[in-house]
Amino acid sequence: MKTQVLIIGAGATGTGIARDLALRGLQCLVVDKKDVNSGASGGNHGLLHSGARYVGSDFEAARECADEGQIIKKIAPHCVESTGGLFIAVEGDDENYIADFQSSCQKCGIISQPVDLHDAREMEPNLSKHLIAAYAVPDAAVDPFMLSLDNVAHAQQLGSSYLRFSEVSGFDIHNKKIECVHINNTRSGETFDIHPDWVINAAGAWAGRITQLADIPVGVLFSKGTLLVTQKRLSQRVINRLRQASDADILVPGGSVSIIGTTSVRISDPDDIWPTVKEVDSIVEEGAQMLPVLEKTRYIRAYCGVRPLISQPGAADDRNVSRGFALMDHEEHGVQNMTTITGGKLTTYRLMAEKTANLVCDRMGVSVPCKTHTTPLPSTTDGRWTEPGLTPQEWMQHSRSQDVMLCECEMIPKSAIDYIISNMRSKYGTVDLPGIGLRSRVGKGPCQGTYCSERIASYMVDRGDINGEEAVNQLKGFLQERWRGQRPLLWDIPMIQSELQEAIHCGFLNLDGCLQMKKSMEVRS
Amino acid sequence: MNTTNDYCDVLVIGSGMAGMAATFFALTRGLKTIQIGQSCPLQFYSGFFDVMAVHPVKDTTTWENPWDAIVQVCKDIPQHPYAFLTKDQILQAFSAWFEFLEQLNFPYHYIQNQNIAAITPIGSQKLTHAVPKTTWKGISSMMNHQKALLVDIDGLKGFSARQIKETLQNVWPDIETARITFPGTTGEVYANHMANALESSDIQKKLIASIMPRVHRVQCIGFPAILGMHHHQKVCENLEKLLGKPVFEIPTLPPSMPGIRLRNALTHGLSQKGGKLYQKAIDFIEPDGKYGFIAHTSNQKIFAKNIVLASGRFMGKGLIAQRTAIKEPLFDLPVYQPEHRGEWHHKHFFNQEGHGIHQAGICVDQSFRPINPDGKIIYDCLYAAGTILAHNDWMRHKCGAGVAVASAFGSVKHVAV
Repeated sequence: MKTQVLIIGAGATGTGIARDLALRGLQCLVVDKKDVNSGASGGNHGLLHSGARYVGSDFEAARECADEGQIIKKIAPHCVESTGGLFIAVEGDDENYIADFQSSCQKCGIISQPVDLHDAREMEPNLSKHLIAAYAVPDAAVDPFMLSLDNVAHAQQLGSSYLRFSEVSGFDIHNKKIECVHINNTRSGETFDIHPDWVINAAGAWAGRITQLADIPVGVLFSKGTLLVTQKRLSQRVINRLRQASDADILVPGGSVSIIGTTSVRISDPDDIWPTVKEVDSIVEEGAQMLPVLEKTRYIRAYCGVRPLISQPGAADDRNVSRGFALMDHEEHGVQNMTTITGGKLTTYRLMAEKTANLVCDRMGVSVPCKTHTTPLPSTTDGRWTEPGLTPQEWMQHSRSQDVMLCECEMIPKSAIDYIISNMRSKYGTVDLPGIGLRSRVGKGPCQGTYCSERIASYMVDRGDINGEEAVNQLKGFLQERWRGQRPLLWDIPMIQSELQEAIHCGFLNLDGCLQMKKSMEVRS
Repeated sequence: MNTTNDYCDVLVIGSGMAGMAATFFALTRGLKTIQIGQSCPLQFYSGFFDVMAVHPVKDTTTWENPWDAIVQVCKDIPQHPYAFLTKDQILQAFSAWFEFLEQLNFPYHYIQNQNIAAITPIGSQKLTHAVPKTTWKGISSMMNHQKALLVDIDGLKGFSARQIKETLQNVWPDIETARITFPGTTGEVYANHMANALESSDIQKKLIASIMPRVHRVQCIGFPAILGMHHHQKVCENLEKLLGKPVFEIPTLPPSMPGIRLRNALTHGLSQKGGKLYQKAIDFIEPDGKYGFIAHTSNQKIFAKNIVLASGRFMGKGLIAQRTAIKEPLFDLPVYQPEHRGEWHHKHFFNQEGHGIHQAGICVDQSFRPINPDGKIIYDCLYAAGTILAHNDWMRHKCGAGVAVASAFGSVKHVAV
């Protein structure tokens, strides 16, 4: 297989680069060892920063966010909900930080308006009674899955390709050039080779593993951040704690839910990340200082992402290191046709893509300028089903009473599953339950897949997409992936839900045990 | 609001398997019995009567003989509820229970000293001890490698004949499948609606019209569990007459008809035996010097000489999970539990050893009376039965119904009036 540019990693950056280069007329191939947004791009708040978060620590990052936020709102309005945001402080918060906030925002070109405390609580009734300051800023919510799925879909329309479950297992380097990249399909076990002119390493937290395959030393450290999804939307706006960045100080609304986080915990293996009970408790307790309702509300899911940190001398706090990004040319390491981009924020993914693409184009002798800051991102149907509340709207509009509702929590009918399956089939050739989950709201409602997973698996067998054994394996895999996010949140009603889930899947369906008795037992009646 | 007073020898709290069984055993003893339950937990019941099939769960060791399994469990887990009963007592409990179900026209099939591999709606097999007769016919056809026609229904979610056929292909190679439309329906259909509709012989005829041409090729015909609501046996007999072949059912995902039928049959049968069954919440319970307890509901005071607590686990709200600890809400009984929430659940949902939380529950003595950590009985006239008991991972051991009926028997046996 030949390609002009091989992009490793289908997160926000990798898919963003693919679209950027495709718009400049280059043909790219994106590979990911899992699927779109499997790393940090899928494990974040879904916040389009106004930049105000960084005014206390890094003016440049704040300015970048302010500019990029405006651009994303313009080019991809369908991925953004312009909620606006509030920065609030409560009794006991650092008054010096509060005092400097507005002028710092001004220096970075961020509009921040003081809000009367009484008005703030009218705007957001769940805010604490102990408010001492509130400012309005132009924060927004963004759907990172829709964004990446649309970026990759647009790149595909422009002649590029995307292969999921495709893990890089090695490079053949001759005369300081990568001539061949070995790929291993993590599902089928098949291996194949790609011959690229240029390789872009956008593997995020896994960037160091990729460079290692080319004997390039890049020290990547990992910081885990955990977030919680509430069952209800708790605020209209993004709520930020007006203080130096710390745990659980941002609440972002998204459709019908809210997301509170994060934590920052140094870890050693980006493939072994779990939201823990300790983190969850700390998020609930810290977050409740801003919105006391967080102590009582029902949570439906915890998840985490890994911030890749390029080890830099003198950086004390992981959170402060992580906001910047690193763009590396590997000429000095003895490889001429490879570039690594890692770190950064979802808000600035487009800028990171632009800078990476500029560098690569420059080196490849391509002189077409970047277009992503002006060319609107087409809304494709690949990302549409990730939006909470969309499938019910569709269903109501077409009053499809004949259509069977496979997932009642998120109201996903058979017709939506049919659509996603045929789309996946035409693009990737294969279909799987976790992939359907990624491309829709399946399993994301209060029941966390207890019923819909089994129903969709059996429907897929009916359609002939998978066989009986695959159905069992995919069902188990899907439930385990959901479990990762349920386990630390199991008290009150979620505990009841999880007991029902285990009663059905282990107690009744015996998925924990041996599914087929070795021999048919003798009848002795 | 007017409150009425009610008096009883035994108040059974809970209307699941253990609550129903405790009510039955108390009535059989001639005790004045009231049952009070909030929801209908039996609708989540598959109909499979598990006794004991897997132990130790960490090795997923399965047992063909449930009694051998029980002996080993009682040796390894001396606090397991079965350990407080003899084999004769357990047998006595089960045979009385099955006899009662037979009287209620809800016959069960089991083979002495043997577990059987039941068929689930995804085509997996699960070891259990007894199943409703109409479920058994499918299992025995499978064991005898008969040719079967397996039917599924347009618009019935989570039940695919093709999936069952594919998953079972190694143990039951001779399955044909057929998809039919339930008479008079379009779009989504529900098991309970179809079960009700199928009580009409007209609907029965229409249902099978499209499969009639294929019936001569097979020896039995299987359906999802939709064959009748109140007259299940009769519906099956009629269908067998029309088809000329045995018919069987495979339970659907809950709420499933075998559980709903069982609930209806038991509610009726226990009322007939003189039990009073209420569906409401208990606001609070106070111990009383003269009577054992007074239970308060919104409009009622129940004076009970004894209480059997069969309120289940989290689904039944017999146990409540707070963020920091697990509580028993009615008596604030001490709950045996892991030390921290971090130990409640393992990282892996299908972890072989199960989850720490499933060892949690109420500890009892040999007479099924709740005890505190020092082993002292908390109330002389309070008993506990069913899944609320500690050291009883019913989902992994596959012992839910058996422990429910046996511990209900054990509790009621010790009740003194």
